[in-house]
Amino acid sequence: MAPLLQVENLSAGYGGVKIVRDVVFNLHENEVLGIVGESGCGKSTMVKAIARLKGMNTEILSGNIRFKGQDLSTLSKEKRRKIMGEDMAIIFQNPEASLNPSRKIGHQFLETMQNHRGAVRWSEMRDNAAEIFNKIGLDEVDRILDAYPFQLSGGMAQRVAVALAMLLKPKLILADEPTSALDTTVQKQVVEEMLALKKSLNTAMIVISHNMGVVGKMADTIAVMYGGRIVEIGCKEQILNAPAHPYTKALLSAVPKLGAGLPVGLKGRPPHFSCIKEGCGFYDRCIYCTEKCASYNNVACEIRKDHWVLCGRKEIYA
Amino acid sequence: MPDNLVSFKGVSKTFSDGNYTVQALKDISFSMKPGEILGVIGESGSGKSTLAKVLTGLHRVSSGQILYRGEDIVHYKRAQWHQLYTKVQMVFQSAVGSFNPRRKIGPSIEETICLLCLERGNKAKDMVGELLKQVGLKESYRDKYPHELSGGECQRAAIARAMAVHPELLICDEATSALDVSAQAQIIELLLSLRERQNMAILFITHDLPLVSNFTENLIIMHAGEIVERGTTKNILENPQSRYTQALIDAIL
Repeated sequence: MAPLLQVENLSAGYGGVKIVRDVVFNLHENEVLGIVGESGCGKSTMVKAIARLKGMNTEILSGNIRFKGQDLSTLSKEKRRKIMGEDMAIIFQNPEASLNPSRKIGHQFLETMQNHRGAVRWSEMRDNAAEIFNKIGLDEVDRILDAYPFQLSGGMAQRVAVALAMLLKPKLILADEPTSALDTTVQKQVVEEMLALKKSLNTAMIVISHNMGVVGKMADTIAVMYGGRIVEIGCKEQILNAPAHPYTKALLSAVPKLGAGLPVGLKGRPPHFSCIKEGCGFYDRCIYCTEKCASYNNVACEIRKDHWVLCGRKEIYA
Repeated sequence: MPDNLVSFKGVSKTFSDGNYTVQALKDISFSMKPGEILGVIGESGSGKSTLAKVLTGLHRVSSGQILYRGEDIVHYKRAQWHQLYTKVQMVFQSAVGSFNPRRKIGPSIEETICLLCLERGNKAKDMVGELLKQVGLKESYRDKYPHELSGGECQRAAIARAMAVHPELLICDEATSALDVSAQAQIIELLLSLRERQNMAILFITHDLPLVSNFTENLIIMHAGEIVERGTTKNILENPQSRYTQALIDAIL
């Protein structure tokens, strides 16, 4: 079966600065891809490039993004608009950012449906919303539809944003830090509800999170990004239990775990995108670095089935 | 000299706008010893930030006593608070937000030194350099604006500013929550090494239980303005008494 989303050698950036570099991956139906990495590694830019959020000035510099067989990078504005919402939807960290503060929730749901389905009545929208609300643990459908976003708690507003994204039962959800603004107990609930919703609607997802626990719980596949490149990608179990790339190892050791001793942080910070050259981007922070690393032209290497690593020093993971 | 650095005795704080009243702190009592690291855990609305704010005089308590080295600070006048800030300092979640955006890092730290350490001119400038080095930043960072720094670097600068007075108590209110895991681990490492060197106490307020479980001696768990559990970190994690603590532990993914 052809993948739902095929990203081929994608490079993207803002204002002429290349941020995402030569990213390749496939996403199948019903699969969840988790993306991890420090702040400033290009995670959000990649998702914005896939969604073709032009308002954010993301430019695709080279490569293809194929979604259900069509190339998104060459689609007209009108066609892209048809896809967004209907087949693909986004959830952001901050629900206030995805909901209009001055309109009632119900109107925003109605507007989304009318944009894609033509003249839709309130009662029809309400039935659709109720079905999704029910799956994500929101009771009181009418009270919520009649409320303004600021009248809801943070956890509830984020559930509403998830429900709005899921309203037209899209094939792909892009979620940029969907639970990072929530309390831990609410975070766990929302993660579980999103998973249940995904299961019942057969949605594929790309989830960005700096919380390794969230990614570990939600993802089937994990991609680790550094300096705009995917440096390691593979199934969840392998990335979390047997990481191969030095950056993945370092990142995992910085994750605090209950009673497991002090987390160890990487020294320094990710490189500025304007000064990334060819060769390994991580060499200046890598403990396995050799003289050759700075100039290696790394090619991703498949070390196990579907487990790819971008590192020139094969001896450290072979 | 009393044993405790800080003692809260039956502290309550109520916010009211006339028709809507919230009790942010309900009868809070606990104490902290000099040099201790105490973690305060709670979710949004638990009152954990209000706790920090009444301790630093940013909010006045509604009732109760807060003793600092045995002296009640609740009715302090402005000048007395000023004096207290030479011993108690605070670091916030948004480091960028805690600096004046139109001023470079160096002059911002210098201002604190002038106000609280009463040093001026070249002496103050030298101190800025020392402080930046102490937190692992290059001296050249004095000429940068807050927005030019990464989140982790800016938090280091905020810690440098707090360190200007050699505080006895550093209050960190979600100081690492806006950072990625790597920068977070670096900041914790820095705080622990500074504490080792200067023997200061740290009140570490956060929602992140796995994080604090690794370096605090004692914990306070707060929920809806009340302390629901208090004790050594080890005891609380191994044998939580309250249902809320258990729920927090269960929510760790």
